[in-house]
Amino acid sequence: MPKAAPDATLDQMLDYIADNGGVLHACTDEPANYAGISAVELGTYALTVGAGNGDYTKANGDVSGRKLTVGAQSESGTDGDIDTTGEADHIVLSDGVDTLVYVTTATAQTLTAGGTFDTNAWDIELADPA
Amino acid sequence: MRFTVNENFKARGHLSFEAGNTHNSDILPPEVDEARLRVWWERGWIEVDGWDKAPERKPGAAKLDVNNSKFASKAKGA
Repeated sequence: MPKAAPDATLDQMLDYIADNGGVLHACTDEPANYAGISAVELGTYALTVGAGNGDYTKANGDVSGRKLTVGAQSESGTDGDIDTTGEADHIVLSDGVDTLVYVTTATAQTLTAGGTFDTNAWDIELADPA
Repeated sequence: MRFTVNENFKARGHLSFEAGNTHNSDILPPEVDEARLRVWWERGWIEVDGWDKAPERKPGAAKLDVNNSKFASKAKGA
């Protein structure tokens, strides 16, 4: 028997991330929860929540399923300011209030306070069931 | 190796260092090796005993290369 997950099913997870990921944090490690972010955070970007609103885009996956792309970020105003010196190798999305939404890795990069950081576009892809 | 911290910074491995404090890398996690101390020294974050004075810190623009995530389902049976 075939297995199937309609796009709407996969999109539920992606929409949750897009609808709640209002802040992108550059971090030195994986935080265990939202409260743990401050201990590892070096700088942030405010993101516009919701897929299709500018920072998040949903589309079909590269191979199958669905994907959510987080757009590239470039320093603007206080967004992208390096607030604390350190070694960044994680990117965390949160709602900026009390909920950790997603964690991924990044190539380790040293950030020095007073400077700025940009990020490339990256995606989260959910494959169809196999 | 003994080193003195020039400015507060956070390092991978949930390590935080405060300006003015002196540490011995021999009692820190093994990931804090000479190569890593050299990176910190080159950024001006620390002074290392026996090394030249660290270069001046240079805050600038950095680019973070964020990795994609792929969730692939794997069936146990047909």
